[in-house]
Amino acid sequence: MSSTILVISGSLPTVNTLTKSLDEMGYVTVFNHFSSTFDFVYNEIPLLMIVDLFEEPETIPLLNSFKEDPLFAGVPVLAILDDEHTAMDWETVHADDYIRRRFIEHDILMKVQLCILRSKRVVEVNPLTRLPGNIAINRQIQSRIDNQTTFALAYVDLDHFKPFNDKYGFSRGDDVLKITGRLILNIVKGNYSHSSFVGHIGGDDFIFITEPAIMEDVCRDLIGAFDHIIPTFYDQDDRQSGFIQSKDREGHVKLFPFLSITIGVVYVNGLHFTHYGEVTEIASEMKQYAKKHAGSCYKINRRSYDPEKRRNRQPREQ
Amino acid sequence: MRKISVDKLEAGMVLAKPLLRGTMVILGEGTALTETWISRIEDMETDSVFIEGAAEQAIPQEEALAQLDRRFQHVLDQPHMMALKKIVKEHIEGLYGG
Amino acid sequence: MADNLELQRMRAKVEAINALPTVPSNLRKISVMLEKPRLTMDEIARFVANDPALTTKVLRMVNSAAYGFPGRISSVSHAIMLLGLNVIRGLLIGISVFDLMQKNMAGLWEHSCACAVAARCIAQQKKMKEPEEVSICGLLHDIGKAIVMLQFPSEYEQALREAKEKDISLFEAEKKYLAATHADVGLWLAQKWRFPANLVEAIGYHHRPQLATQAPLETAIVHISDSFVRAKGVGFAGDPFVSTIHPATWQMLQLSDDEIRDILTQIDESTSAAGEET
Repeated sequence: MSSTILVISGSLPTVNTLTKSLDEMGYVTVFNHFSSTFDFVYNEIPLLMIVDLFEEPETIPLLNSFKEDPLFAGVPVLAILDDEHTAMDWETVHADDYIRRRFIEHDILMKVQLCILRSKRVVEVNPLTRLPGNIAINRQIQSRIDNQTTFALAYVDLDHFKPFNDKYGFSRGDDVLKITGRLILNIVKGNYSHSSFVGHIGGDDFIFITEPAIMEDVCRDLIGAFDHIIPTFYDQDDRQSGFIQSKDREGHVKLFPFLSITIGVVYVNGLHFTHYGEVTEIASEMKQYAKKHAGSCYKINRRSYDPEKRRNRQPREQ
Repeated sequence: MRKISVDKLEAGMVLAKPLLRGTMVILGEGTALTETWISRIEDMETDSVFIEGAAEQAIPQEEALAQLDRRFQHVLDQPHMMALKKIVKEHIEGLYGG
Repeated sequence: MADNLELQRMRAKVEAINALPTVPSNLRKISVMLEKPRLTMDEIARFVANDPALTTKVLRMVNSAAYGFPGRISSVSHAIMLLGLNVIRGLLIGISVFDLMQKNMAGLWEHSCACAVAARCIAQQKKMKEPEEVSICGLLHDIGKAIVMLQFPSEYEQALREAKEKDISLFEAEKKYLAATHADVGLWLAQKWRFPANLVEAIGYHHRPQLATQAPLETAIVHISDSFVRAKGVGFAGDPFVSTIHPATWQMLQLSDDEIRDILTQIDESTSAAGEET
């Protein structure tokens, strides 16, 4: 766990006060511009960031962009404000707390201690991928249903994950999960869809939500990226042969192909649903159906939902 | 043939390789470029094209070969290195149209 | 012979380095890239993979403890997929005028880029599964020299002068003025930055490929690429001389005359295109 407190300010008196007051809390690193910090933060996640918010116009957009990444969303950000800042739209500024410049000397130590403590009582995130977990996922689906929006939901998991874990160990298996989470995140968010969402249910199960129009592109990109990277997780000889030898659920030694990614998709018209569980159930069925095909693939259920007819029907691809 | 960037194209240069958009051939090899074609190529997303003719070499051939000798002076006693030198020498001569 | 304390001190200074300098023309290109409304991963990957400084930054980031899968990634396109566009933007924004290199590094960068081309070519000829990764090994094999240039400029100057006056290689000359070679320096950093084993070995053992245990083939390819680029006289890596290709390595790769000619042509095409861009 990092013990670095990052200070981003070009004001020498402010920097001096902060450095002096926070000396006992941890190592204080100072940058004059937000743009200069990326090198540092992407290599070592700081304990806390203290940001002079209005010093430069670039600061707020860079800060927001930075906090959008789940890896860094958990870093507490303390904004420095001056007296003239009496009204703030906190929805558009991703800071976690603020302090007025003239109170820094008096209050900063307690403020920082409290900020750090508060960030530790963290929202449920998956410890491996830092992606939101079930509580957030279900809330996201439910709110879209309540607002009667149209959206597409994808349920993702990995094929042959257990034999991979058995052969290569949990550590490498964890790396695969981290990378999968990262790929899903980048590809979904990379399409600049602000209404999108990525969650990690647990193990090798993920969920993501996008607008229906871009869902197929996202699935294709994700499959392409995953298939491209995953061979590097295999040892040389397995990579050459294209399969691994491991035990199946009955304990028999079998040959397994490379890990592949399976995606089950459901297009949702919010009008027809009342509970998030109804959505995830269909997506899960599509995923099970997709699993029957070898290799990475996605299957979509586009049918408009009819609660009566659904009870007795097998899921079919549209 | 040599590869040059699109902003250095001049009328009269001849394409050494066909110009493609995806897999579709826009201009065949052997086409002499006109000003019109050059501005169309500039509008495409291409950075560079292959044109006929050896690149103008910065130094004369004798100088280039003398430098080659100098570079290899420490490995004269090794047959596999001398074999390599021979191939490089032929390659350099090729650049001068040899 | 350097004593342990001297070695430790040198290592500490090496590991204190923050960033490698980038080519001046890249700074301009970076601002152009950042202004594009929709940047594709491919465009960025191509751009980054042509600059050792940017490549090092990206690989260091993706292999850092922050992301959680150290020692896994040595391909630029994979790194970009995993870091994401926002992060890359941040990285590009963070590059400033103070990160620009001096003249003698430009020769080194040219040599390195040509090595990347040669290495990729050989990897493709040998039908290897990841030619891009081998290309990166070629691109970064001499970062140790850049580090030494930055952190120990006067010793480097002296070594350069000695190499020039005595007509010997830089690798020989530097032993007189530094406690460790540029290959060792590169190795330390590659390990510190948690680069994957293939990259670590290519950087550390490109002068003595027989020492590579985990990636002998990649290391061999970089060793040979280095010689080929020197044979063609592209760029300047501290001395102009072609070093002996280790006989066992030469045997391992079994390159035919035609394959060698092809490699030389590819080096040529990449450098002539690069030359036009300044």
